[in-house]
Amino acid sequence: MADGRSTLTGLTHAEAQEFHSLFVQGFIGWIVICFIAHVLVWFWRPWFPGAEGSAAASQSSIMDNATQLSQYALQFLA
Amino acid sequence: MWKIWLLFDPRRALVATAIFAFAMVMLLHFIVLSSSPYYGGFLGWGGGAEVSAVSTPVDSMLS
Repeated sequence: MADGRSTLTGLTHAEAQEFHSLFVQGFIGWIVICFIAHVLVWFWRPWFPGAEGSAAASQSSIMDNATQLSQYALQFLA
Repeated sequence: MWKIWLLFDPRRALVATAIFAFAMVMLLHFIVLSSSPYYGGFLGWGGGAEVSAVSTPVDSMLS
């Protein structure tokens, strides 16, 4: 340490920054993998409107309306 | 933000993060798989061996 003080973990500032950059890289990689996995699952079985919503699209209920609203929201975002 | 590693030991944080993430991933995957035949039907999970009648783009591509 330039100022002669020690840290709680014993890491220098340079070591902490180096580890932090690696940690952030790993976190970003994790997020990317999760995103790809979710896209694949969406293609397989999209969770909106869900099994009940797709199978019973003709039935009307509060839940169907909520499902429709979420679909509109997703369409708007996409 | 990097100064967090002056407070928390990176080795312990890595081990704790890995254990927590693995446990959470296993828990959530099993919850989803057992939630309904829509997601767990191909394993016979989620209330019966019947696979959901809902057809998705992948189903039509596979069949």
